[in-house]
Amino acid sequence: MADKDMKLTRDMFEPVSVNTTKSEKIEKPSLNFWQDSWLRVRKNKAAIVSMVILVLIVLMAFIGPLMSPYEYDKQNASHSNLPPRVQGLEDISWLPFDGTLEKKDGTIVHPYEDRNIENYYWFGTDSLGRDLFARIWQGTQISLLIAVVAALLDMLIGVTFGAVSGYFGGRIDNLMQRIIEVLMGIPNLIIVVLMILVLPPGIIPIIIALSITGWVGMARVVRAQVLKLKEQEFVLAARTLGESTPKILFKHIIPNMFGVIIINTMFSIPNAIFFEAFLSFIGLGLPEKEASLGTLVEAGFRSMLAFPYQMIIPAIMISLTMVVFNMIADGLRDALDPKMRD
Amino acid sequence: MEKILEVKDLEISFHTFGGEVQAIRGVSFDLIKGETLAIVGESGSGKSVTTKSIMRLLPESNSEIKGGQILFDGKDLAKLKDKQMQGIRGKDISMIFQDPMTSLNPTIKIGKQIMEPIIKHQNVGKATAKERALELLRLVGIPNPEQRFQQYPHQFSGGMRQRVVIAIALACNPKVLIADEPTTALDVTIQAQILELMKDLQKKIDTSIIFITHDLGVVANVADRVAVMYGGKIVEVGTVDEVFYNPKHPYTWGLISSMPSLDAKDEALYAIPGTPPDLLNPPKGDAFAPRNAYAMKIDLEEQPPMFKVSDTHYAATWLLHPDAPKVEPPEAVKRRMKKFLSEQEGK
Amino acid sequence: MLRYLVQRVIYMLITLFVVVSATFFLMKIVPGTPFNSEKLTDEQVEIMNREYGLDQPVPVQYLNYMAKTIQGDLGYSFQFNNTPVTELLSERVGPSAFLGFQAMLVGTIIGIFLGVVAALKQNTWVDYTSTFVAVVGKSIPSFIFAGLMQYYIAVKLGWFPVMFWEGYEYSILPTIALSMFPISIAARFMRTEMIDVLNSDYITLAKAKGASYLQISVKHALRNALIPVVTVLGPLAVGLMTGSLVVEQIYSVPGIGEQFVSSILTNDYPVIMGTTILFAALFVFVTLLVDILYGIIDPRIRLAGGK
Repeated sequence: MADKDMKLTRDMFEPVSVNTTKSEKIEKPSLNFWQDSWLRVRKNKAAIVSMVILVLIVLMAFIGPLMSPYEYDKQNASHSNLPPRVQGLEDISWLPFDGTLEKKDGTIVHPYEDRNIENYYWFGTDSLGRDLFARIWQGTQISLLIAVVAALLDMLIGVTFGAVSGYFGGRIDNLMQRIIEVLMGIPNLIIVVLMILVLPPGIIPIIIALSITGWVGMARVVRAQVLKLKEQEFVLAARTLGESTPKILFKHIIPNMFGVIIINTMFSIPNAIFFEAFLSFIGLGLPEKEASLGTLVEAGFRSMLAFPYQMIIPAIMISLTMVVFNMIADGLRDALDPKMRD
Repeated sequence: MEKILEVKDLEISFHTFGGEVQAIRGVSFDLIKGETLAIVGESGSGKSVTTKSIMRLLPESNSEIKGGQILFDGKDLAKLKDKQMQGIRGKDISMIFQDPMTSLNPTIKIGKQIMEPIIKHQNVGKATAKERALELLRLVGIPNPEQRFQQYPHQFSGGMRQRVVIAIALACNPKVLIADEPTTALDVTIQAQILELMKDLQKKIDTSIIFITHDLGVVANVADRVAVMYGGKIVEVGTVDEVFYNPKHPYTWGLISSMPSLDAKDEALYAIPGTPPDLLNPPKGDAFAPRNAYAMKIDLEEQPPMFKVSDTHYAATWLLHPDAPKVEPPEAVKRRMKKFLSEQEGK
Repeated sequence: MLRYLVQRVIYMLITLFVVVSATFFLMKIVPGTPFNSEKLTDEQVEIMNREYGLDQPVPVQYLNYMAKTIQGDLGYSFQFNNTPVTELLSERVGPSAFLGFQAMLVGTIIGIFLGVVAALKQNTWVDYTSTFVAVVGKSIPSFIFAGLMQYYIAVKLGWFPVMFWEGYEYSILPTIALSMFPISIAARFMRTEMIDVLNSDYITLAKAKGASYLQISVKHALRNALIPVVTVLGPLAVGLMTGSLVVEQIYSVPGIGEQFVSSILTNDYPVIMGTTILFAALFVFVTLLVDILYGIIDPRIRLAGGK
């Protein structure tokens, strides 16, 4: 076929010894779970961009309130409802940072000049004259805190419940499944709202209310995984070798579910952010003094007609955070879910 | 000896994340009218890809016919548009798949699934199509066809489903029937029934069959000719007798001697050492060389051409070159071959 | 199938019982009484408490409440001049049901369409756009959509009414806001299902039969991919209920959601409890309905006699 004219010499027909073990050499370096996952996640550009944005958001959530010369809860009645104005950007009229405000009838007002205010409020101020830049980042910090703590609690309860239910099976499992089934039958919304009505307003009650409902999904997924894993040979082998039950659970079964657990936790974070904002919106959120993305959106919504920036900026922040979390969770699911592996 | 299908120098690649996988690297064979050609080889040797490409069923998104021709009825199937191909699939060439449990649509009644190609290709009304479908169900040996006609696939057993799949494939009296491991997923007793059915039907409707399998017992049972595939190439082709009585390629030796037989309890089962070649980076020389106990220097340098053994028997191994040392298949292999042959004759 | 159904109905009743009891006891420990107006004297409060049965021991109140609930009597609103809760709620079912139904219909149809197109044009810009729309639609809370649309489309552009409920055009913006969630969920689910089905053996067989692209996508793939979509209808309905609370509030739609929020703000316990029970009943009922529907549509389940 290829070069037919090639001279075939006799010596080419001498036997060679073939080392058959060579062909069974493993060519690819073996990767551990995290390296392998990272290789997969890295292919998903949307997830990588989202991760970068998320890192920036988290950084700003801590640095932001310090960057602003104003305290997030410092009221200043004479500086109320000022539109955003940023040094250097104020002369670029198409950017929304020129310190002007368009009224409903289309006239443009200059509150800074009109009220003789020299200060620059980067994101403007609210109706009590508080600096929105500081409040937004402070609010992001609180919202993230609530969401992350709630998600971690979900994970802790859900994994424990699911693992116990799945591993022990039998009557324990039966009872635990019935409990889950009844809980699944009640809409989250109702439980959260009722819990918030009963508990005093604050960050911890919101976390508690969110965790009370959030773990059920995790528990179901973990149980299904445990049921699958505990029948597999490596677990049977461990049991045959006399490993103790907790050791089997924590050393053999749970590490094999990291992927599923992480994916689930990543999805419950944006869910918690949503519910926090939702509660603020129906008047069950944090007390007015505190800032969270939810209270900011809600306050902004009330003054939307006159001062749209008060609504739009927190709306963008909460949307961005949610989108970023969902994108990362999607990327992780595609990368970690063994079902989708090639 | 009318050739009904001719595959010439077919090359197919898959584009994957890792790079280009050269799944088929120059495959040529003919299919003669009325014969059964078996294609054997281990998983990944390219036998399914070859037949899927004849039907043009490879996913367009990541596969590519890089070269060669598939000549059928004066047309090169490799270059046909999808619309033209639709007129050939199911009418002139049809296919039976490996797993009858998944190859029927779970939400459509059996009858309707059989009627579909009849209505599509034969331009007949529903009543005629139904008549024909019932006839087909009877032909493939399904009892109570009128009742079965109205049922869904999940109400059928695996063997019965495969009979339905065969009925669908035969609906338009195809000239070529491709059977891609049609019995692999079935119980042994059902396997025999399905093979009998296929042999029987071939006589009745005079179709040519390409039969893909990795089971040499099945080959001896149904085929007229055999093509052995390895690493995306055909390494040996000949009549059943030639390939079984007088195999020339070391890989064929390996295949035959790795077959278990009932009275072989005193003998260790032979296993071909090593693993199939990585077609992402195909080797320079003979793909089988790293696993070949009779490898020569040239095997590592050059791919062997097809050497002619007889008019119908060809093998691609340098051992057939006049300069090569004369080697006999190992004794154990020969013994097993003999045993195998006497068993086949005994049937 | 029948046994399964009976079992499901029993669960449904247990769930409702738990909800009703939990609601009752939680309401009992809520701080603040509905009669905390400063205009009322202690004596007046006591009279009102007696009138509403609030002076009796809690277990007695609980039994009374249960008995009445079973008879369909949810008590009287504290705030709305003693209107029966059932009457109050039934007045408001109309707009909520209309909005919910419309959003569900619009959302699932658009979502299914997006998902199918994305699956058929996998890994093209169509797919990426559809996926992006789905992620954004799922991520951004409905009240943000509702708020932004109200400002930009209703207030600034004036294309639709800003709020209230006086005609069909009043339902359009709330419907769009509510349907974002079903759109994105249905689109993502449909895409996955469709890709799964398109890769299945029976689709290859259909191709081998000579079926055309259209026949394969519509007759063979779509039908099979649509069946599991029924299972997300339940979660979608819940999402709509949640969304309706804020969307109805933003657009001042006189529906159940708006009622619920305002009764929370005024501590109108009977209405809160009534709405909770209504929501829970609706939820449980939808879940059951979805299960039955699934059994009817999928011949494998229908004829095999339940899972």
